[in-house]
Amino acid sequence: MKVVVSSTGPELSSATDPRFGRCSYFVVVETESMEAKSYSNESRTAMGGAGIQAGQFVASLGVQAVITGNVGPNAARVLSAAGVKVYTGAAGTVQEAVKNFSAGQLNQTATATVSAHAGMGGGR
Amino acid sequence: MILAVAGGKGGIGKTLVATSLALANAPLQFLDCDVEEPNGHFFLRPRIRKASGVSITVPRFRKWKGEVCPEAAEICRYGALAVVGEEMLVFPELCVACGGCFLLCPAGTLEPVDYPVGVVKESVGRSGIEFIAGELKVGSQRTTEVIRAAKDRLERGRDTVVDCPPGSGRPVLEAIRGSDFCLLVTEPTPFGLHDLRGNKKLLDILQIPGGVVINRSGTGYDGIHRWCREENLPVLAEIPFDRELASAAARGRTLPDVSPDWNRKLKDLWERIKKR
Repeated sequence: MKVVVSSTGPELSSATDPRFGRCSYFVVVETESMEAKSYSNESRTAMGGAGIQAGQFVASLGVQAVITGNVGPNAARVLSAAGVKVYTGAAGTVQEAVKNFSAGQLNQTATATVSAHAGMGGGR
Repeated sequence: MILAVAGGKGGIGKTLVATSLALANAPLQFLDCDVEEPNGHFFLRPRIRKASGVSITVPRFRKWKGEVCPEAAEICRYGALAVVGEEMLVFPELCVACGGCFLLCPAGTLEPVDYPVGVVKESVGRSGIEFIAGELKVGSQRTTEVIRAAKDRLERGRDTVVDCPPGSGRPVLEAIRGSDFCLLVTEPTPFGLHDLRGNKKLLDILQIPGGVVINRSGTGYDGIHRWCREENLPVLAEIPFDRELASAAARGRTLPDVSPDWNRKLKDLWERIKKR
C-alpha cells in the first residue's frame, strides 16, 4: 500500500511533522517494501490555503492514505473528496509511523483534528 | 471636509478623538471604518435604522456544466480553489473575489455567487449625527470590502469624521483614502513614535495632509514633539494623562461630555483644519 507521511526531513529516519499542510517534506512509502521517495512541500510557506494545496498535491501522488499528526478542516475536505484516507497521531520517525500504521495503531479520521491555521504557529 | 482619524495601535484613543470631534461639531456624518472591532457606537449611541449586507462574488462549481479547470486552481494565489479528481472544491473564506478563475474556466463551469462578508449599519446618533458603521463578519478577512461598502454610504459634500482601523496597513489606507485631512493619534512613548512614523509614511504616499493628537500626554517623553518638529508635522492637540478622563472614556463619555472647554477646543480645531 502506498502511503504518504508528513515529515520534517526527506529520510525514513527523519522525524514526522505533526502538521500536514505546513510540514517540510512528504515522504511516500510503499508499506510492503518500505521503499521511500520524498517531496519537499511547496505549500509550506503559503500565505493561506496551505492545507488545500498540500491536499491536492498529495492526492496527485496517487497515495491511498496520509499519515500525519493532525489535519485541519480544509485539508480534510480535499483529502476526503480525493478519497485519500487520513490517519492522525503519527509520532517518532517516518519509519516508526509507517510501522505503527501497518500495525493498526493510528486513528483514521474523516474530519479535522485541529482548527484552521493551527499549523501556522504564533498563536494564531 | 472629510476628516480621518487614524493611529498606530488599538487603544491609542482614535475613537475617543473621532467621536469627541464629531460631537463638538455636530451635526455631521460619522463613519466607523474600524470594521474588525467597531466601537464608535459606545460613544455616539446610535439607534440603528437600516442594516445592509456586504458580499463578495465567489465561484461555485457546476459539475454538470463542464469539466474541471486545473488552470483556475493554479492561478488562485489564495488557494481558494482545488481540483480533486472530477470535482472542483471552493473555499469561499479564502477567496478575495479577484475573478481570475472566471476568466480562465470555460463558460458556465464556475457560477458567480454572493458570499456574505459583513454588514453596514446606518443610524442617527447623539446630537443628530448621521452614524454609519461597517461590521466585518466574524471569521472573514475581507476587511477592505466592508470598509469600501461603508464609505459608499457617505453623502458627498458633507462634513464627515472617519474613524479608522488601527495600524498603517491596507485597511487603514482604504479608510483614509479620499479624506481632506488626517489626524494621527499617538501617545508619548517610543511605541507611539514608532507607529506614528508608519502612519506618516502612509499619508505621504496618499498625499493627504496630517496633524498629530497626543493622547495621555504629560508623561515626560518628548520624542513625539521632537520628531514632529523635524518632519514639520503639526501637533494640533494634546489630551492629558488623566485618571478622570480615562474613566469617563471607559464609560462611553467623550471629551465634550467631560467639559465644555473641550467642546470649544475641538470646535476651534475643526475650524483651524478646515481653513488650512
